[in-house]
Amino acid sequence: MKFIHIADLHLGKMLHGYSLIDIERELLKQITDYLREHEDIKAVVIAGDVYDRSIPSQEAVNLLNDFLVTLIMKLHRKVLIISGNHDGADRLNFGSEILKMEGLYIEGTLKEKINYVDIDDVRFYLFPFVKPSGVAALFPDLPHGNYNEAVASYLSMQDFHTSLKKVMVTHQYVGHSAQVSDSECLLAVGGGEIVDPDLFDEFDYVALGHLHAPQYIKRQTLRYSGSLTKFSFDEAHQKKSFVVVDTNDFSFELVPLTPSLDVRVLKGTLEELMNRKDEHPDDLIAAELSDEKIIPHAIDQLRTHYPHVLKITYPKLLGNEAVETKTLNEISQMEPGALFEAFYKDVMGTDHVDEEYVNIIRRMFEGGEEQ
Amino acid sequence: MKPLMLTMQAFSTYLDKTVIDFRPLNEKGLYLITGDTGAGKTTIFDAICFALYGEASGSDRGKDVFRSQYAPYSTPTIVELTFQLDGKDYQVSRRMSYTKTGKKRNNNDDAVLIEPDGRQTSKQKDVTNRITELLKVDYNQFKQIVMIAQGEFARLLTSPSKEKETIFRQIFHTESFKLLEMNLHERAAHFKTLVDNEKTQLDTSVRDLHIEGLKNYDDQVTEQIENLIKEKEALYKEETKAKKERDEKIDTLTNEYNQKQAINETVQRFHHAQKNKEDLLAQADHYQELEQTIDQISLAKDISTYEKDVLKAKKSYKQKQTERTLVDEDQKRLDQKKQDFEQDYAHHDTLKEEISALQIKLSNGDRLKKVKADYDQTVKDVHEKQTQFDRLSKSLSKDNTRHEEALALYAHHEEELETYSQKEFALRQIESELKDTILPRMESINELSVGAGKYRDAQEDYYHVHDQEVKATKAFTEISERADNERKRTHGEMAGILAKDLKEGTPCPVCGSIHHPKLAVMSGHVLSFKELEKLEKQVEAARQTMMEVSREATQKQNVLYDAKSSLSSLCKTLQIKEADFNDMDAMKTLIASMMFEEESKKKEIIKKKEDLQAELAHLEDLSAHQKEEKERLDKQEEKLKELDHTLNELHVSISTIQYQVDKIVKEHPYLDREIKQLEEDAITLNKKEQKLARLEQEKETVTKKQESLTTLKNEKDSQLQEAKVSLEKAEDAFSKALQDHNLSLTAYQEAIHQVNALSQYRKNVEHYHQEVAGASRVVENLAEQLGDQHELIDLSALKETLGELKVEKNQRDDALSHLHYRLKEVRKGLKEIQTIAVAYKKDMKEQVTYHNLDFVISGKTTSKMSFERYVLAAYFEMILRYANEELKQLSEGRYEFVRRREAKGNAGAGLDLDILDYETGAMRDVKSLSGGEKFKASLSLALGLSNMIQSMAGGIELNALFIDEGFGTLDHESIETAMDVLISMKSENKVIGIISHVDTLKDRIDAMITVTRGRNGSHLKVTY
Repeated sequence: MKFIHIADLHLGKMLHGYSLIDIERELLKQITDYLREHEDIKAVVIAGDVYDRSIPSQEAVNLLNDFLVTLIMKLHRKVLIISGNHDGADRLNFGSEILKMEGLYIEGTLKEKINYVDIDDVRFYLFPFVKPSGVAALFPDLPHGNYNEAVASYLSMQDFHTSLKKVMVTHQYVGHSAQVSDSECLLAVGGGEIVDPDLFDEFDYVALGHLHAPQYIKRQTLRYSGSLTKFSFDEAHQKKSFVVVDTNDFSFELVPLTPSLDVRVLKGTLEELMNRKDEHPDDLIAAELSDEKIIPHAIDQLRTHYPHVLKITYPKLLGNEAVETKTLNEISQMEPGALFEAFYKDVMGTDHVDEEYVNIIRRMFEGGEEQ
Repeated sequence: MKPLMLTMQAFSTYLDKTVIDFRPLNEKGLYLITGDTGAGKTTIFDAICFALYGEASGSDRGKDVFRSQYAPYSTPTIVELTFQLDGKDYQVSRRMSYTKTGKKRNNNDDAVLIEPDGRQTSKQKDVTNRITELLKVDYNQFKQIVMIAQGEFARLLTSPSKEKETIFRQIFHTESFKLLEMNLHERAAHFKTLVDNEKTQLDTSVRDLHIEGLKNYDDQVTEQIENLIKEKEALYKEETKAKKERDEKIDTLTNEYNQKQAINETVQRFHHAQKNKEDLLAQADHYQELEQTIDQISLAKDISTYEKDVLKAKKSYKQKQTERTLVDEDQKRLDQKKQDFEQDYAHHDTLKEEISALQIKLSNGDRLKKVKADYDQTVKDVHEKQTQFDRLSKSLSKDNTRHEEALALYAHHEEELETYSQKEFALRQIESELKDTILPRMESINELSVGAGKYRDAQEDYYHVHDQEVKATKAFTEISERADNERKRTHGEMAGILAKDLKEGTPCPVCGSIHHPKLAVMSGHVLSFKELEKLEKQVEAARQTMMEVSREATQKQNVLYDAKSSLSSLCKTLQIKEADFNDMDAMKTLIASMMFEEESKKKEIIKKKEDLQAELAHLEDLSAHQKEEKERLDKQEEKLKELDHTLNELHVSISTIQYQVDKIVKEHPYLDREIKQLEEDAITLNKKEQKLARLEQEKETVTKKQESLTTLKNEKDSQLQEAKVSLEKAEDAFSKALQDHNLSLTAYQEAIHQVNALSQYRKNVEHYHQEVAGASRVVENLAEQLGDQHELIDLSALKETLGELKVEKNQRDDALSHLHYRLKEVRKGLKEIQTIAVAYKKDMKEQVTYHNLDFVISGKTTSKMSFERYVLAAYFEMILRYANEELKQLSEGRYEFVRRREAKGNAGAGLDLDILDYETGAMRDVKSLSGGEKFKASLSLALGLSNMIQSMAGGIELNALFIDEGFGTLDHESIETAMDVLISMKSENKVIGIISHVDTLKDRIDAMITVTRGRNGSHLKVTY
């Protein structure tokens, strides 16, 4: 059988103040359309970060509701969801026991014995996002100093023996050096949150969520589906897709997602950008103006052409040194006389400083002698 | 400064003693304090602030608000903070206690700071000051940099340059610049004052010269003055010449005048002298009289000697009279004394008699004394002896008693010894019993047991063999049967046919039996003859075996019977009934119990034997001992006898002495009384003797006295007579003298009165004569001098002229000296002015220089930037650079801090902030940001500042940052971004504590202090 693997919906997220809910609605519709056309896809796996925050907005809740209603009531597919670090796990977990009847499996809380769902010949293990403290609460005697230890301890307490094929769904930060973008958030500092991929060797496929760029770690079947939408401008170059996995041989296909509004970065001077003919001027745009000085109300001008300009930067102006004041290091190394000279020239607007003045200053610094 | 441990009691909402250990939270680097509104979150920051500075964290919270409402008055409010600074631990605690009415006790405000080297500071103010020293920021600065209080986060952001200056100055140590500024300002002021003073001086000097038209100093003044001087000098010269002429004239005239004046004087003198002489002559008579008086007086003087004699004689006579009277008085007294004495002396004889009587008595008394002495001694002897006697008798009785006891004991022991032979006998008995009875019995029992064992073995053997026998028999039977059978079969082949027809009940032709259990079967297999033989052999063998075994069995049985019989005999010997030998267990038990019995018997007997042996040994000792004892006892007897004897002797002597004593007592029953009487008598005697001696002495004294007195009386009489005589003589002489000189007594007395004035009178007379002579002389001289001119000359006209001239001279002289003086003055003045002018010019130049420098350095230029601020601005730029990194992230690249360049108004600028908005490309005032944006900007600034300070070594250690709320102003995205920024700031040394009730933060931050409000105050829970 086949299943779809998506993650990091972040329903309700804003991009620089612009609500992405419409784009998300569009993309979710693309997924449901795809499902309609492919009857052999039996399940949809959502690997965490369904919502953007623990108390989601009304729109987000409604959108998810519509999506799930379509998937379950209309298309009769099974849906497996785990909570991510952004979700409010308990809230997401609401009614999960009842919903199981209908084929909607939501796992929000970590239990001593990991829950699983069998569909055909595949067993899906649902591992909701957990911090080391969560593992400590269940198994206080096991090591849980960092995420890796905690996850290892938890997994060691589980029994994965089965004759069925095994798929693990998890939202932990698995990997060594993965592609990280601005929109992912730091959980802990210094790599303490990274979990070793080797812990999941015994699973035929691991459906990961948390990182927004579609990628695999160590092997093709240990995979982040990536987010549906681009959530920040440094994801602008990524190609977003969702994964369709065939459980017969665990081959997969990446189906690209094509939102009507893309997220792009435009570079050039203001003039250039104003004169450019752009095919999709409605896209969500970050403008990097290569002008050498700030142009007042540049953003308003740009918005006449590109209604969704969300951010302007002037990369050439980085390193905008103060012209009149010396840098700190220089100052701390200057001796008082020279310092005074510089100050004087600056303040009086002249080039020449009376020697006598400088000498007096020097003397006064040295001793404060009476004249 | 990193907080390590905080303790609060009765502080705001924390009633009970609450302790927060920050250390694990510090390790996490970022922690959250969360809880419902009013639970007590900000209170934690308040406590930290209060512990350090004695003030609240927010400026709208006063100190007295801290007292917990729930606390009973007896509980003081205590806050204690342990914090780490520069790697070392400090502890500061403050305490407020309250009275019943809820008022704070002012005296009881304790504060203590304990530093790692043990130094202690106490008292609220001192502690606060010391903390300020240590942390290098005061309360206000602390709040702007370290503890960003609720609603106050924008303070640093929007504060004017001056405030920022104060903070940064402390942080970046630009005090030296400030100092420079101050010094320059001082110098400029100094020179200005100097210059002003000098100008004033110059002006005053100029004015003092009182030159017309010159009021103030300027450059031309010097020249003007010099011109003036020249003028004046010329004038002066002229005047001097005129003066000279004038003076000459005056001199001449004066001379003339003087001459004429002199003559006039002489004339006057002449007239005067004439008058004088006349006056003197008028007094001649008076002086004549005086001469007469003088003569008289000298006469009287001569006579006075006689008078003196007379007086002397009188005096002496009087004296003698007085002496004589004294002697009479003495005599009178002596007579009285004699009378008294006579009375006393009358008793003289009686006294003598009494004395002798007493003496006799006393000599008798001596004897009595001796008796008494004897008595005393004897009594003493008796007493001693008696004591001795008692002692001895006591000891004797003791010894006797002991002796008796010893004897008794000895007898007792003798008796004991008699039992010796008995005991010996008993011992032997016991030994024999042991030997004869018990030991053999035990042996028998052993034998029995052995025998029983043997019997058992034999039995087993027998059974075993018996079994074999049975087996062998059985085997034999079997095999013989088999043989028979085979034979039978062999034969029976023939019989087979027969058998075929044989039916049950039909007799067999061979044996005639009706039953045919084993009908001969016609089997194909028939044994051959050889086989039969073999079989026969086997049978034989079996039989042999059987026989052998049977024999063995019999043998064994015999052995068994033997064993049994020996066992029976043993039983008999042991006198037990024959048990069932087959029951081994019962046997064993029996044997064991018997053995046990015997063992115990044996033990008993052995014990008895040992006892006896011991006793015997004891008795032997005893007998040896008895001998010694006997000897000793005998000796003791002897000793006792002696003692008894001594005792008796003593008793006798005592009685003898006692007898003596009694005798004495009988003779002198009243001995004591008599002795006493003797003593009294002795005293009386002594007294009387003394009295007698005294009387005799007195008699002598009186007699002697009378003699001397009589002698004296006679002397005095004669002296008196002499004196009288001389007196009469002197009086005679005197009257004679008077007569001779024809002087009456009265005249004499008068004259004598004036005798003192004699010399004076003489002098006066002489003087008068001299004067007269003198006056005459003078008159003569003067007349000579004057010649004809005896009248005065008139000088009035001359005088007038002279006077006028003089007046003129004075005036002109005055004017001249005035001019001279003025010249001097002006010259002096000029010099002064010149000197001062030099200094003035110099100082003026300096002042200009310093003024300019001051102007520039203190920021009075158009840019309004002082030197220090210039330097600070550089630092500030650096801070902004750090802050901009954070702000870029927090505002997603939209905002940037920019330091404002132009001055706004009069307030010195250089440290003001603007925000550059990239979207509009324009600068915005910080105040124009929204609440959330302001929070982001403040947070960036605080973080930037904190980062900057971290990277500067040797500065203030402000590696902790506390943020109280503010996150509520941010939207969800901004909170996420802010969290990212904060989490990325975690480094080894930095700790950020956040108070917020926003839920999202709880998800992102692990380390937490959760504050809940209970009924009786707040409670904390720390998780990490």
